[in-house]
Amino acid sequence: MLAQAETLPTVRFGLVLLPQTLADFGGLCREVEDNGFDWLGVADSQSVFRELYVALTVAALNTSRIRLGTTVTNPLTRHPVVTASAIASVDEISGGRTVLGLGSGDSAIFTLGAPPATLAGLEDFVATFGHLTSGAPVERHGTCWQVHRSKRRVPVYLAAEGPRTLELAGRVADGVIVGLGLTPEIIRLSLAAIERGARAAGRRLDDLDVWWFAKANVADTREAALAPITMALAASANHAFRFTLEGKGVPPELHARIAGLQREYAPHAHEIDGGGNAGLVDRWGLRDFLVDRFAIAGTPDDCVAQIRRALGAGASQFVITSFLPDPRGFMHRWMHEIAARVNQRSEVPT
Amino acid sequence: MITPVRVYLRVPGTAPMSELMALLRNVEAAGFDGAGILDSQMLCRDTFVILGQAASHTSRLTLFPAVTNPITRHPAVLASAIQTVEELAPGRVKFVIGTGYTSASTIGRKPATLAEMRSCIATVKSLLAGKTVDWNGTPGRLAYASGRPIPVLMAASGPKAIEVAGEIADGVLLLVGFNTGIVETALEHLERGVRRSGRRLEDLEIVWAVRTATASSLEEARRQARPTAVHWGILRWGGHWVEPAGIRLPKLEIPDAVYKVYPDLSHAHDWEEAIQATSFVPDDVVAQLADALGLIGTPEHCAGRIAEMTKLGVRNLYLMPLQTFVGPESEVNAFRDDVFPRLHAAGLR
Repeated sequence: MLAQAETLPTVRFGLVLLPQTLADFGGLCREVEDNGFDWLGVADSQSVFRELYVALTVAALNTSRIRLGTTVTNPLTRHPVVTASAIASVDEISGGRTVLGLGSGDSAIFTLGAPPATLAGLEDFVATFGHLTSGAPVERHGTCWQVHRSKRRVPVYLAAEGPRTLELAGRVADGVIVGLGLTPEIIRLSLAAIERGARAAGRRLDDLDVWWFAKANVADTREAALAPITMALAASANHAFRFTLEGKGVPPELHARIAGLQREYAPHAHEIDGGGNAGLVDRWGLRDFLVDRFAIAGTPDDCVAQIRRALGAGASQFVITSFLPDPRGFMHRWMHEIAARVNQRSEVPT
Repeated sequence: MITPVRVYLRVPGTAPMSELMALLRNVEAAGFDGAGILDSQMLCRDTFVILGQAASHTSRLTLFPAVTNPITRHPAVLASAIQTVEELAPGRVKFVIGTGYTSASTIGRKPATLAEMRSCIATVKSLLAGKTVDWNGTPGRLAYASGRPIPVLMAASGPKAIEVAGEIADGVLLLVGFNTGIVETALEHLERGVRRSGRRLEDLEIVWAVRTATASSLEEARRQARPTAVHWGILRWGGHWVEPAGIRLPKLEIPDAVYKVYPDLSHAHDWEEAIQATSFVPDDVVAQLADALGLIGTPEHCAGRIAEMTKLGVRNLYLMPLQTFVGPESEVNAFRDDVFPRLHAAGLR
């Protein structure tokens, strides 16, 4: 029994911070690190959050070990050389701890009335960015782009919510942050897509560092845990299913309801408490579906059970987002009552 | 009552971050009023990352990007970035934006047009004021606009750009040169723009960007300034401004060696080689060019020239040491030890 349990991977957690203020942001970052998270992500949505690279600078100055990442930026609102230069600058301050989480653009793009990046645009950006952060030249538009001082290729994690982006990630990225869901069926479907991409590039699934987005909260009752993250679940529904529902494992009877939620979603209130998007979840009767699919939330027992269910399907690293009035209390409780328990080998059922 | 002269210094993000922070502390301790951080994505560390870190490493210094542009970041990101820096350094931030000459050319883009400048500046100002703007039909705003004023300055070097700056911006960073004829002509253009918006020159923050080189002798400072002075006046990089400078130039044959300097005379990697390449220009011509261009000479000479220019109403200086990608340490020391005390004695600090 012990031997079998030891083959299970250590469950790791990253935490996304939404820089809604920089007052004591550094102190908060320090606590993320001190609580044992493996990854501190900073959201990028210029109209609602403090600027990404300034916030990451504060994070870098206040931590010493934790991996620091954009969760997630996009290829559109900054020129690729600016993005490479900015992350290289933070990489220098942090002593080589940065990663670039990259997606096609969610609220950062929609609040600007702009279309998101295409798959081809993402692929091009990943390649260009890799050269630039390596300090290598890139020929473009008759000019030579180069970030001369950058010496370390900053790893790229593609945020992916559909089979085609997952395949692209498998083919070209260093890692993936899967945003398609956490049910066993969705985890298997996602891993299969990443693996197809990896194989197409002569790689294996194991060559990729795979993380899973989860909307998380812990409280003494399930209801108390879910209430504050309902708006985040609305955001998941809006984002993960926005282009197509094809290949995403959504029951057909829910398609119209998801479309309804998306129609009414207000990007300016993106993941802002009291912003109005939370109400859409019940209005469209999607609560049970969204909780099961995107959340790890409830009592400590609930959370541990949900993580083990995901672990059984092959997901062991979670980037969690939690937008709560007391983030410190949350992160302490999460790491001490949940992370500690799922990593206790003797408790793992065989 | 005499208004004091404010002096800002250009700081390129070419050195490692820790050295940059030490430098900025020295700049503050030396008595400078502010530091402008170059925005040039290939050669310099990110301007907003540096500004963000500088906020916590300084306490008095005014901080600004110098200069950013409407091309490499979306205007919403620009507004977001400067507002975020301002939150870390409340009340001591400016926003300075130009057409993006080198940051555009190095990525194969043309500099922004004046119409693009108008649009970007109007957008950034609205966002910083907490107002709603229109993004392709989507209403947009900056959710965390502090309401504290962040002056938006437009960098300008051509007459038309200066007029636009006078019309739309809170202030202007003038990169034109620095002698009586130039300053008077630039102010005429500025006033034309200012009138269009029903304002007066006094309503505008006018900052003069001046090429700066101090040395222990006037001759050595002018020798050091040769590549920049010749590029400006003889190769006519100074364009429009050589005329109002009132300089009488002899006919000069420009030798090929000048064009072989990489990447060009005033950005030369090998400065001594660039100085050599300008030997076809007589010393007296270089002297005129150097004085028209900026503050080039001994600290005493520079302090004297600043005092002279204040009579024309000059109150804000942005010092640009000659070599763009060499740190400004020697100018920091010269101003701390010599120029600032002289200005103080003259009642200008």
